Amino acid sequence: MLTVLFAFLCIIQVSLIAQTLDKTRSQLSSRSTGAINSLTQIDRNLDQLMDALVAHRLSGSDDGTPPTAQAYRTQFEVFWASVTVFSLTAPGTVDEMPAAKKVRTNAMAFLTGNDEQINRNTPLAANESIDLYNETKTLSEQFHNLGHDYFIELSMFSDELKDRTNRLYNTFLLFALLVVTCGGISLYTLFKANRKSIELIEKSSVTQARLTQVVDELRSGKLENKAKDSFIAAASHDLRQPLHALGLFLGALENHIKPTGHAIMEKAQQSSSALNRLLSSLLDLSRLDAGAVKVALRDFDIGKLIGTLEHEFQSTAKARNMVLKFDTDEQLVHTDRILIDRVLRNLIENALTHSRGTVLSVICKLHNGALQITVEDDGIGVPANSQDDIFSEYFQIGNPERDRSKGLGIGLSIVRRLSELLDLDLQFSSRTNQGTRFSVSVPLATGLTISPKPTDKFKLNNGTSRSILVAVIEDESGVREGMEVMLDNKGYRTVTADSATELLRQLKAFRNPPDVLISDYRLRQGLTGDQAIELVKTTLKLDIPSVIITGDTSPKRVKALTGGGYKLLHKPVEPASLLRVIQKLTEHPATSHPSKTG
Amino acid sequence: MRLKPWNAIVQVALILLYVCAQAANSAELPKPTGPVLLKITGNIENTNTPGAVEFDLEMLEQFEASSFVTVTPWTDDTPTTFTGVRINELLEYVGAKSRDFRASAIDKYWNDLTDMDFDNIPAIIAYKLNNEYMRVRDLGPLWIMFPFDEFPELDTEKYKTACVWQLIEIEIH
Repeated sequence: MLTVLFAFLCIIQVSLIAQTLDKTRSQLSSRSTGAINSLTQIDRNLDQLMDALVAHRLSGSDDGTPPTAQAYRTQFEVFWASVTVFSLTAPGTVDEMPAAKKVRTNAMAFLTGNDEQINRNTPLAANESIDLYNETKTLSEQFHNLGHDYFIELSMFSDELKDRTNRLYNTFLLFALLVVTCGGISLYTLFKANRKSIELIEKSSVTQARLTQVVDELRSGKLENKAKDSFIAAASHDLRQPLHALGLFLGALENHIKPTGHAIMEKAQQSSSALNRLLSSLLDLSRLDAGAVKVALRDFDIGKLIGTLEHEFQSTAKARNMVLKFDTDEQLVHTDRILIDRVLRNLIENALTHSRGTVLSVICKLHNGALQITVEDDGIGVPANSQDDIFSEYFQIGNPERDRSKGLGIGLSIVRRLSELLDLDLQFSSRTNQGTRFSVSVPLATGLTISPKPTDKFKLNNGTSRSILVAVIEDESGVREGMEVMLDNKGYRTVTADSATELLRQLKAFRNPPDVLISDYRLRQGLTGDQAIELVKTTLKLDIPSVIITGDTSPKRVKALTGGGYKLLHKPVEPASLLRVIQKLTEHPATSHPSKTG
Repeated sequence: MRLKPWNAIVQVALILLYVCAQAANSAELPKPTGPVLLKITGNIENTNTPGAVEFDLEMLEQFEASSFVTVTPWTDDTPTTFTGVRINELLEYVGAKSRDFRASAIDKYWNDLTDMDFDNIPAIIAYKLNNEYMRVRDLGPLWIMFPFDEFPELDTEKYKTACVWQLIEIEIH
């Protein structure tokens, strides 16, 4: 607003200056420098004419045409010429000075009046010379006065010019001041605007960067996966608890069912274990992500392992109208037995579930100093545009309705992660409607170490377990009761409590300390399982073999716990695995022998 | 200032050539027969009287007449035809060694004409105004005149004061 006002003032100033300048310019241009010269020239011409007249009179010769007559005639002519071009304009105007006009008229009258007398054949007589001289002198005085007037007017004009120049200078100074102020304000405004715009640009670039990041995350699915992962971690934790209880109750129920209900009971157990499997695979993935899976490399015969797989999957293959073709030999390899078993299991399950083929073959072949195990089907194959995605979590081909009986689509994802973990070369090729082939290269055994035969056959010994006291800390009553019923059924003595202090109180009724301590990880009042176990152990001053059951898949916590020397089980725990662990812990008195602690 | 030797040689050669040519061309010009209107003195090669060249009207009219129409402050601001001799031709005729000269008039007025490009500006010494000879009272008989209308850039005091009327003598510098 101020700038506009200043600009307006500037314009007014400029127009004022221009007007004054123009006036001065025209006045100066009309002021001819010839005026002064004209005056002096006329003055001299008149002087010379008078001189010539005096000279003629003094010569005194009246006859003929003496040189003096020629001289005054010439001077007369010269004066005439100077009068014809004489003009004086008033200073600062374009008009002739009235006085100049008057004098010029007089001069012209003098010239025309004496022309005849001067130029006649006989020279001027003495008295004529004197008359002419006097006339010329009068004229000369008139011109002289005119010069004086002109000088006065010129002086006044000069003062006026000086005045105007001063005013012009002041106006110009004011104008300059205005321009500088105006410019300063403009510059300041510009600078401010510039700074603001720079800030805006910075802000917008930050926003843009954030936006780009978010868009990238969205595009890459990172954000989605992140959300999925956290959702699954949370959901599986919540699901585990009731699933765990369900398994325990079903296990306990087994012995109380009439033969007629066995079929239904079996179905119920199948469903429960299917549910367990699904949750377990999710858990596997979560644990793999958590880096909680330990690799134990050793030499063993993979032929036997594959043989077991062939046997196990026979019925499933039949149910899906597929023929299994296994071609294996005894071969010692060097890898993790359990994890490679999971890899192959997942590959075979994947082929059986999704390929819709007729033949599934598992072939072992020595290749480049490694054992290449190929799992191949002749099913629908994987479309070329999906081949990059098959190892991603939750990706399934041809299952948009997400039929859960076909699994969660994380089998191959687990395969990939395990292969990476075991440093195995996993290859994949597929053609639509011709089948899919996966192959894993397993390194051959280097040493002679033969794995001890796994004692995988688990047998419950009802007779011996009766004397074993199992203490359970579990804050959830449903699970606690389920555990109690299940353990009772398997012939264990049990003592259950919702906290360590309650357990210690109840233990007073028993003569012996508990042989095994089982605790849920999350207990009431923010207590954790390991804290509860430590409390019991220090109170009883005994080192009791302990098991912690956790629903947590958080990598940090799982690591912290496994480092604490506890047997760790993940919910949902199937009754069989829990029993196996209890048996193992009580079977080896060397490691679980009660000993005095400090 | 650094002079290229080649340039210097060429310059010396040109000066020598010029001097020789002037010496060879130095000549006695025809003398005037009528009343003398103009006298050219000073730094000149050719003469027709000791140290000067005198012209009568007939001699001036023997040069090719050059004329133009122009408005002047001394002719009532009306277009006027001036006829006369090109100044550069006259200077060449007298063998002037310089282009600068002082022009003097009957009324004792004089003006130094310096740095004027007479080769490109067809300034003349006029002897006719509107096809009539001029008397002294008509600012004649000779009048230096510039073509102000054709060359507007000449409208300055320098050229106006150079318009010497009643011209009688030119002294080459």
